Amino acid sequence: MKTSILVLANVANFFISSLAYAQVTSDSQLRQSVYDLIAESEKQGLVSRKYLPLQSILTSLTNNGRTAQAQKLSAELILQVSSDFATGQVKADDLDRTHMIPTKKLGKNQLEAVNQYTLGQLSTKDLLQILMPKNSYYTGLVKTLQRFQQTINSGQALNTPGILKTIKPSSQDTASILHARFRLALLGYTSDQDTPALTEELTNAIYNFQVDHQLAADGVLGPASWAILNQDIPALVTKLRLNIDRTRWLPDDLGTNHVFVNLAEQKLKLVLNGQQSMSFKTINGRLDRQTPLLFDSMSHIYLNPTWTVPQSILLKDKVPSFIENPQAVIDLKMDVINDLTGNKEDPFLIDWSKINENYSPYTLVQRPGKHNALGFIKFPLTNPYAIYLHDTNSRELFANSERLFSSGCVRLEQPFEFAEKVLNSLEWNAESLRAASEYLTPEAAESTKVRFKAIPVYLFYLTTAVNEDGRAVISKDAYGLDTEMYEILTQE
Amino acid sequence: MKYGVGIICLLFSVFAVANVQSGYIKNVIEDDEGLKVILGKKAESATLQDVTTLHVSNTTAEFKNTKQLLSNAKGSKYRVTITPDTEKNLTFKVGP
Repeated sequence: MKTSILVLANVANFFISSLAYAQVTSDSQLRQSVYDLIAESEKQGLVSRKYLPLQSILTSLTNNGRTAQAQKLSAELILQVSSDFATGQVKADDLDRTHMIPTKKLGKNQLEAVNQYTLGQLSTKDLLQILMPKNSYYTGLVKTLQRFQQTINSGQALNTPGILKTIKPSSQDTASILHARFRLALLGYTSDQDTPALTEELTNAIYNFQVDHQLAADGVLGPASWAILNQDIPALVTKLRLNIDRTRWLPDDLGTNHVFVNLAEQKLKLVLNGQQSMSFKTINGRLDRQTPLLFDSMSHIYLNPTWTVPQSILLKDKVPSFIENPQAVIDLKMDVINDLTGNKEDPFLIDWSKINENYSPYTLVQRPGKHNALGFIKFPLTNPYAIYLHDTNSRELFANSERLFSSGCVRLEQPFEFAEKVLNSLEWNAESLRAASEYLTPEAAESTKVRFKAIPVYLFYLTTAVNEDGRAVISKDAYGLDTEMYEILTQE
Repeated sequence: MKYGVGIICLLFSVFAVANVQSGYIKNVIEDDEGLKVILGKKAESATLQDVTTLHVSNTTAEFKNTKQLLSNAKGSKYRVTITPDTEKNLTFKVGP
């Protein structure tokens, strides 16, 4: 953080020197450029209050006739706002959590554009066009934010009926229907805000909203759906701004083919040839073992994987249960390997109560098969945190609306269909993958490695995201990233 | 790497070790989270009762070097002392 400020200060000095020589813009023009940039950036999600202290100093310097210092501060502010706009007001490194997200910096052409803007040679609109993140997640959220801002400016957001009734086929409550239309339109589910009756179009919009939000989808807008749909508008605007800021961390080009796991929504999206190919539910790390945000890649799968129990899970989860009942080792179809000899040990002859951080001379390996914690397919990633994608032997957990059950890995609802798509091979499809795994006995099953062309994998976190159809999906801030970023952005 | 010239000290940032450990490296086992090092009390042989273990996380900055060093010392007659300081650095002292 300190380094980046230093770098920014140095770059700002460079601009100031050019400014001193050029003198092509007046002090008031430069100051106006600062205000214009902040105002326009705010329309695209930036939280402007972050710059209020510096703006206040700028005003004071100007009022006291300290022109040189005011000019310098103006140039610094333009550079700071530009950098924040392009790369995020909060950086992943500012968060108190593990991640593998590279820090973005302004590119050469972007720095040049900032320089030109400072010299009065580029419009605010043109500068923002050059700085603007180009990924679709950013674009979708900014459009949604602008709809919200228009609504707030028009005063429409204040008109909420006192009681919101369930909207179903017999509904006659015009106020509730119009309010549902208004809220659904805000999130991109309908464009008709005026028809005061329940139409097929509105029922479809409600149905889509329920599907997207993983609610029971019946086209009836009841309390559970209203609770998500009718959230406080200023709070939603803040949520949108925080998520827009996170999308600034994403690369402009996520890849023609890529995997995007939204940890907040607990869903995976596979994009092939620039189009969404499939989307399904995931199970992510529980609150005390959160799945980290990662930009990673995958290039092979393992069929019928073994599972070597990681040391942390062995000590936290397995040993306590084995102390109670060593038979659990056998029931879980695990082998206990002696780390000195490499031989298998009888779990009943081990004093599990002695196993701890400094004495753990055994490795536990779960044999392949339907009982295996990784299921039938493992999709390894490259990160050092032992986080990867895999099938599961507990598929019933996908029926839950909140699915934070893993130790950090991402479990997949449709691993075979997903494997078929990423393998993109004549040899393998979902059926042959199933056949190669499910019909083998555990004893016969062996891990099979199948390679494919590397594909980027993003484990990201968006509590509001806009899908392929332009519909905004709101998720709970289960991992608390919104809260943490808000605190960073609003700290004095 | 040869250790015959005396004591070699190397510093690594390691997060997984909380106390001083010393011994002869009997085995180094890599898992998804890093390395498990099996330390014996004697150079010659060891039983399960004689060993201690430590885990080195693969998020360590110098993990590859650490892994190489520990793997090279496996089965050697050189004793390894691992001393974490308050900064969570490890000092590896490898010598006869």
